[in-house]
Amino acid sequence: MVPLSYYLAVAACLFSLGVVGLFLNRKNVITMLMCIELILLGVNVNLAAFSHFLQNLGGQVFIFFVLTVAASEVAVGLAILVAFYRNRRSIEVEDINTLQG
Amino acid sequence: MQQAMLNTTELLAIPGIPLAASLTVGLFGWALKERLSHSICIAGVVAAAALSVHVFLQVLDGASFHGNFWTWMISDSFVVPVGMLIDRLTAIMMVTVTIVSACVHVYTIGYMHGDPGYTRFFSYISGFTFSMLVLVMGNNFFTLFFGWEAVGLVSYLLIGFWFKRESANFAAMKAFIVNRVGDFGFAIGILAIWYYFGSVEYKDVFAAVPAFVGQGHSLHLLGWQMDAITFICVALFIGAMGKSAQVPLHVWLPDSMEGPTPISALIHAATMVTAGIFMVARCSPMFEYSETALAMVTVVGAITAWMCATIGLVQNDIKRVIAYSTCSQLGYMFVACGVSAYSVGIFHLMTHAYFKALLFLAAGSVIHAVMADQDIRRMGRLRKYMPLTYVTMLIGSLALAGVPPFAGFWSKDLIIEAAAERHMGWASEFAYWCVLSGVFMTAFYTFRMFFLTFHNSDRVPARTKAHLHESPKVITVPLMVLAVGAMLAGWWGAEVLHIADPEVANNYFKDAIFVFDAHNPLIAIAEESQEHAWYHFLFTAPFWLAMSGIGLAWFMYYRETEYPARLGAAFPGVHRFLENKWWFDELNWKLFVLPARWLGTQLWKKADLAVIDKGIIHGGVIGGIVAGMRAMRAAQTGLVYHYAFAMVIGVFAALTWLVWKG
Amino acid sequence: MAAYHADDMLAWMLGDAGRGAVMTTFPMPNIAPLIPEMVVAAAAMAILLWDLFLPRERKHWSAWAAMITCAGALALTLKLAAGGPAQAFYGYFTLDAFAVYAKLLIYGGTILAVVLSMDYMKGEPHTGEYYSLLLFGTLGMTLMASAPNFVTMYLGLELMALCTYVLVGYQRDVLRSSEAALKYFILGSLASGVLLYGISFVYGVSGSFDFAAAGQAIAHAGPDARLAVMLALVFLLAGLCFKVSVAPFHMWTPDAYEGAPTPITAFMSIGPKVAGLVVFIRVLDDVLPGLKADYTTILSWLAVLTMAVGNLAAIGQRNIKRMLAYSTIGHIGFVMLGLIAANADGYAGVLVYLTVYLFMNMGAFAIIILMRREGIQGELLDDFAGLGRVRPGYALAMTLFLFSLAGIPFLGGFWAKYVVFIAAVEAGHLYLALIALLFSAVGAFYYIRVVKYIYFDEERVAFNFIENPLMQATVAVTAIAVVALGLFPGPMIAICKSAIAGVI
Repeated sequence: MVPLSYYLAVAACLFSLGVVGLFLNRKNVITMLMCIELILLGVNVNLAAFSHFLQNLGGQVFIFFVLTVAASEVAVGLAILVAFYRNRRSIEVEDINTLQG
Repeated sequence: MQQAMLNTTELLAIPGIPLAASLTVGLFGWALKERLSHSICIAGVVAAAALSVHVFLQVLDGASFHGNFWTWMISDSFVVPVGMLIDRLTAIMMVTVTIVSACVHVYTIGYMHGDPGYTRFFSYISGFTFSMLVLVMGNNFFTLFFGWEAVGLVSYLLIGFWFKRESANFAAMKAFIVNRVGDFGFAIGILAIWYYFGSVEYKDVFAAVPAFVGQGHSLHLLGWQMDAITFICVALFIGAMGKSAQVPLHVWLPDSMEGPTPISALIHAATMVTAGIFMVARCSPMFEYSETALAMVTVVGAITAWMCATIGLVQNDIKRVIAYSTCSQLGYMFVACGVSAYSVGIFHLMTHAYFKALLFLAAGSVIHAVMADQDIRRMGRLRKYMPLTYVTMLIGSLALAGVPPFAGFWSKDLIIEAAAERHMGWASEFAYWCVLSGVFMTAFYTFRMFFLTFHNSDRVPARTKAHLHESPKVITVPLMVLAVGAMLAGWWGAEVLHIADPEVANNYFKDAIFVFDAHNPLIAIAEESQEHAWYHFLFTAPFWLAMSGIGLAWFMYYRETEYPARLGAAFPGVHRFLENKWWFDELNWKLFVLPARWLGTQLWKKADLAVIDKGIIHGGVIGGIVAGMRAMRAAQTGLVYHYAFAMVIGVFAALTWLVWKG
Repeated sequence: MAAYHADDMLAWMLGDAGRGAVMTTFPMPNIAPLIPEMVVAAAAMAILLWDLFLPRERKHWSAWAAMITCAGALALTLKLAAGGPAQAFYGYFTLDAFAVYAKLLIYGGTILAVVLSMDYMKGEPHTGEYYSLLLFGTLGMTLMASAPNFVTMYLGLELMALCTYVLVGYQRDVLRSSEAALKYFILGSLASGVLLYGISFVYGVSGSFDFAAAGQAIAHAGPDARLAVMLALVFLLAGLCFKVSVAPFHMWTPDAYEGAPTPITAFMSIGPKVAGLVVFIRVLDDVLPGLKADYTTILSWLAVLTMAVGNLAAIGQRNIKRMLAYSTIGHIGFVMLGLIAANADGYAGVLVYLTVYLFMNMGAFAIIILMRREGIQGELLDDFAGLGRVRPGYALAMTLFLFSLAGIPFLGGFWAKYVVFIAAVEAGHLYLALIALLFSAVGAFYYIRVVKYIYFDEERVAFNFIENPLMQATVAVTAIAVVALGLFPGPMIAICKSAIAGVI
């Protein structure tokens, strides 16, 4: 049987990939949205693993909430991105820079 | 002893009337127009002054007041009382504040005439009078703090009154920031009082001090052990240093001269800047228990008295000369408090208020006449144009220089004697030499300014000349009133009120100020003065130092000009004497005056401007804040991945710390 | 493989209360305490529909509807609260005094935000959506305030966050508005991910999403669970710190505040902070009581950093919205002293602070919105020049708000600071209180600088004020409140203490 720590390691990798991707990626905001998805997936793996090993359904139910929220989050995010693109004609991460200081 | 209580309504009216006047004019000044606005404010302050005098007379007869009008229940453990404590210390402050304020109000009619901010200005100075009265009349540390902050606020606003001048804005900002440093200490002191004593009322705190000291509380601060009482006193004194412009927090006061002259007279000479001295005297039951704090007060006061006097020697801006002299005189007052002669400090505060306000207002009258030029190198021979200003300024200068029988003589002489008689190790020794040598310099720079302005050669630019005239009555009448104060306040305080005499039964501050007998230098002074005749001052060093200071100034700035012939005719003996000693004066000039001037310049340029102003204040405080501001703004790059990275760093730092800690 | 029993599942879903009744009847969950939230949700949806049928000149009716909804929900909440603390959905929703007080502030903040929006949003299309989003955001906040549980908390938080992302970017044609929304969205999503990761470890250690149960388990966790507990602690704190703009998680704040429409900036500066701090307090007190030593140290450092960032960066700002954003960060730094004190007094101090902050901040934003210069909203500090002469009333009110924000004695802001500082000192954090005092001294500078502009500078461009009696009334009410709370802080402090007392 696969021990809990393996699952947690996978989840941690996914989470870290997402976080690191957020600040290493300097090209495209769409990639950032994908990174956010990765972060949430990492969390979901964690929850599922704990749920299984604790023999407690709560974690898995919570995953559904997370997935639902993630979906609506991306919907909102893409809408904002479209609005931004209309004004700026670019979705380069470096171009989101008029507000600073 | 059965003491008569003062009338509560009357007491409330004293700060209340100026406040009402200030609000009325502040809110409806646009509708009231100039005439009605100034009438309301002046009526308010004059009423407050009359009531203060009435209260003062009752206090002299033994009346007093202590009571809370209102208490704020903030929490179970903390109550803020709003009340008044009227005793002799308060009464003398009230009278001084309201009378000087009334003079300044009247003066302002002439000085600010035609200024677009005329009504606003009246609203501010009435508001200031209210705040200052709250500061002195309160019966607890919170009203003290409230008044303290309120007068500070009005002060910054008024320094920047002529906001179109860049220098005025900068000076206001500087005053604000430097005072923050002091207020920070002050706030800590008050919080410490509340923390240790559980009350902020003077009465409770002072009553608890002896027992508190007996319990030997101490605290560790940055690896340094300190008596709790010393900590409190030092913190409070840091507040006083900011407000009363003591080295190294004095740098804001000379710059504050950017404000209109009535403000310089009222706030930056007579009243607000003396709040620190009032506070130390009020807290005498605490300072008496801390030798360290007293030594600190003495030394800081002595350094300020001496250093600012040397700087005053070389200033050419008429207001800056007087401003440095204010710092210096405040230093004298702190020396008095430091050597436990609080009553003398307050005495000097009172005399100083009159003569320094007089000097400022007279200087304002001069500035008004020469079309807002403040450089004494472009004045001269103004005497014939403005005789009234001349006479009043002469009285003020004599009082400042400490010439008998003018006001400054009585109080300053006592400070020097007190410093000599109080034996507290090197601190009082040091202070004695500082204040003694300060007398000479004070006399010199005062009369240098005086002679350069009113005598000497005529250096007034031709353009200005046509404009030269004596100031209108609204300006000269307050000058005359203050001149009477500058002449009589000293004699009145010393001989009528017996302010400084510990032996005489009707010693003025009997309950208001607490001094250990062992500390009290006045006892020794009183014993000695029993043996002296009234003309004893003729045999003392301060008198001759003052005289020689004036003499030297006279010689350099009066005698050495094209006046000598007329002067020689007027004073043939003196003239011949000096004429014959010409070579000696040359020598004197080279041996003494040049080094002194050099020292003054060095201290001003190097120590004051470079080290304290640029180094500590600009470099340290302002520079630190500005550098911090730049760093924070630079971190906000506007790039999302930097923001995300900052968050990740935060998480990592916290995790690392936790793991490292285990 | 593990098998799940239907009984267990139902028992979990229904909580302990449902366990005995599983086999026989399906118990109706107690929904009474949720009625105000339901009203808000229903009204939000109704406004969305209703707006479609409103003629153009009556679009502002949506605003009135939103306001009435909030007022009604507030009244209902208070009425329900009179019956004492209550729970709904088997402990997934709680209505205690703490939540009620927080909701008072949240609804109050929303009502004021609606008032501020009425004129600002006049020319914008789709105002119905705007007010509907405001209500949904408010619903999210109230859910957070009532959450005794990570599930409710997370849902409330996301509902609030999604609505505010959209509201920040509401001015679609304005670059800075959509940029602010985009930044806020990306960082906000990262923060919820971080928070969720922390929640997953709490769940892993305790097997529960309930605050109290998880707290029990964490306090008794063995040494081998230490790493998981540490991860839970750090990620929870980081996620929550983001929501309340604690440095270094604050960096979205200035950009989002500056870019957002001004009424939304005002909205964001109150409600989300109240909701975030309520959750923060519940998490610290219920979930992490066993880690008090750890989290007070971490929060102390963050508090110092936050105060430094907020108060220093604000000095260099020219845009008043951005300045107020940094000012919010600075104030959050002071509020954190209450969290760090970690006792009832400290938490009550947080509520006091938020109460006063509601009035002074909303008042300041109201003045900013009222000021128009040649049709452009006055946002630069220079725009305040000469206000003192043109509108002495506004100038006086703004001065009061700024002085109160600066913490000048005998205005509300002074007591706010006072209460949290004292709580920190009494909890043994003297140095922290001293540092806070120092920064509040520095901070006073940039507030008073605005006062200088108001009274001492001359106007350059003619003012063109919005003349809206409702907003003028708002200014008056908030100004009076700031003064009244300054003069009589006692009752407010007592109420805040009693709101905390029943919970902590």
